[in-house]
Amino acid sequence: MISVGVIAGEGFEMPDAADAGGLAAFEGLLRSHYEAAFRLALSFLGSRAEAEDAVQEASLDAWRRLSQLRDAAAERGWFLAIVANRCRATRRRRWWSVLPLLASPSPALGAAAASTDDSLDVRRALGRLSDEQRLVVVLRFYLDLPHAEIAAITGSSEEAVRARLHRALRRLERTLGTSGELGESEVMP
Amino acid sequence: MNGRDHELRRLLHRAFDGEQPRPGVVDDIVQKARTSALPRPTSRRLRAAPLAGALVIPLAAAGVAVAIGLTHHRGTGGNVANPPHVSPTPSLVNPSPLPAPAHYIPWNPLPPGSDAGATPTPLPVPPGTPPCRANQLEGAQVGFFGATGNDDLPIVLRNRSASACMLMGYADLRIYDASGRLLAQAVGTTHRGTFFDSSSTGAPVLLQPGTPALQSSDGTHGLGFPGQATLNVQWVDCSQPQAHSAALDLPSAGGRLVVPFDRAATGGGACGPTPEPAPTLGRGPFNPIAPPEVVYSLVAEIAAPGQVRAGTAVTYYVTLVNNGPNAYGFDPCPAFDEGLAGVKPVKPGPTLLELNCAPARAALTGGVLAAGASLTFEMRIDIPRTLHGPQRLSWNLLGTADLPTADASIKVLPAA
Repeated sequence: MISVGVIAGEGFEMPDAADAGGLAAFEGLLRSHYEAAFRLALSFLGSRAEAEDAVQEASLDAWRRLSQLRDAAAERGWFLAIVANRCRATRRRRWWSVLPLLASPSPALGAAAASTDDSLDVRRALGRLSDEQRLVVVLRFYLDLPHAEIAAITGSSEEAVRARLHRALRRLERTLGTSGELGESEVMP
Repeated sequence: MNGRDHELRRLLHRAFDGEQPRPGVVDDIVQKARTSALPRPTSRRLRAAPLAGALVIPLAAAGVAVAIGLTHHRGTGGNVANPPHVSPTPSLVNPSPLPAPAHYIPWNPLPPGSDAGATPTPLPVPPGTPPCRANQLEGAQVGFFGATGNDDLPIVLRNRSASACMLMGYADLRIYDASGRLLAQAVGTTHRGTFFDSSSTGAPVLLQPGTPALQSSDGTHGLGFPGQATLNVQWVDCSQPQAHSAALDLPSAGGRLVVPFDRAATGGGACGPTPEPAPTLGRGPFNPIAPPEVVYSLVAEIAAPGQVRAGTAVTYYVTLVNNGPNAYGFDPCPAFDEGLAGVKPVKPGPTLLELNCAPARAALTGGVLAAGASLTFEMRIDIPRTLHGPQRLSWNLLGTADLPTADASIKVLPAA
């Protein structure tokens, strides 16, 4: 039988009693993974404000799609994939919407980090990567996720993740002037 | 992990660990989820989720050959594509593909970022609007934007006077260090245009009074309002001299505007033994800031065959209906993900693709999906050979705010 599937239409549904468990699960998911999501968005977008917005929007996306999460053990990857998608969408806005990207760190960053050249350099170097390269670098070397989980988040194979990491690291090395010094053992075992 | 791995991790943590999540942010989001009547996917209905896209940009329909017939329904006078036709129940043994609707945008698996979109629509400049004078304006250098190895150090201008004025074409640009030494210049008809400019000819840009002041503690407040102007600045010098200010000599003898420009030239690091490109300074024409993003209310309807065969590529159709009052121009072109949610994940993550926006815009009157109109896109998904039984096909449009999402139940039959 042909199904003319779900049709979004007039009105919407308040979460009912049956959703109480869903709300608790959603809250648990956020409490467990919000910081990782924030760090992913911050390093991807380069702006605290943009990162907070992206994660909030992604969180609400996740709330809407919570019923699609079938494997609780995979919830971190599932949530971070939604966050990554939000970050991609944010980056694809007009440049004047992403001007804070790679701007100088905000005062909130703290004098110690803001004043260091390498902090600025790594932000700029990340900004020169493609979105997909930046994503795998952040997931691997900042959030310390295993290759399999990165593959799940990015919707690609582990081999593709390793290849993307390799290219990203070579480009980072050129930008940072650290030839052969970054992450070689991770991607070229 | 070896020392080299550790070095990158150290750099990343040093760059970003200073930022902490705002206290209470999780509580705030949960509260939004609890109180704002957010939709939960159900078996039949979803909320009409508004989509905040970007500008509504009329594009010329000519030049893109896409067969699409537009009719009117929903009583709002919008242009609509004919909805997908629903076929009879297919055979269990040999499931039938879904009949194609009469009109649709064909499948084209584009990666995100494929669509260049359109240029922002500038505010109309009323006849007689005078050229801007330097003493009417305030300027700020607004960060760093990089793409494909090019670096932009854009400048934003606002009108701080009480009356509107206009800018058109190019300013002469000179960059100085803190001692007033000239570091670089782009004047006259030379060094016009940058990597970031889509056009080398500048249209008139209206600068309206009343936009917020540009300066703030974080250096970004007040930017990006309609009525402001921007110009791209591309300054390459491998010695990376540190600038202090930029002087803009405005066209039409508008005088000199000095803008703080606390930036170093870009150059890919210090000058090395290999020949470096000659120092250059380029500037773009004045460009308008885009109007604010419009909130759209798009709804997704999905039509999929009820039964599919494992190991095949299944075609289905997604119709986007514009339920809001604002015409939607598919610009920027939204991405979508599609997936199958069965007893276990069949893909390790979402598949992110971009809508086939260019033919969509070309097919629509004025390049936009009018209020009340709908447009059908052909979709395709590979069904893994190992999958069987009841599954749910989900489709989600990704954009900048609330997003339409839809799903359909399908039954996967064993591979032939």
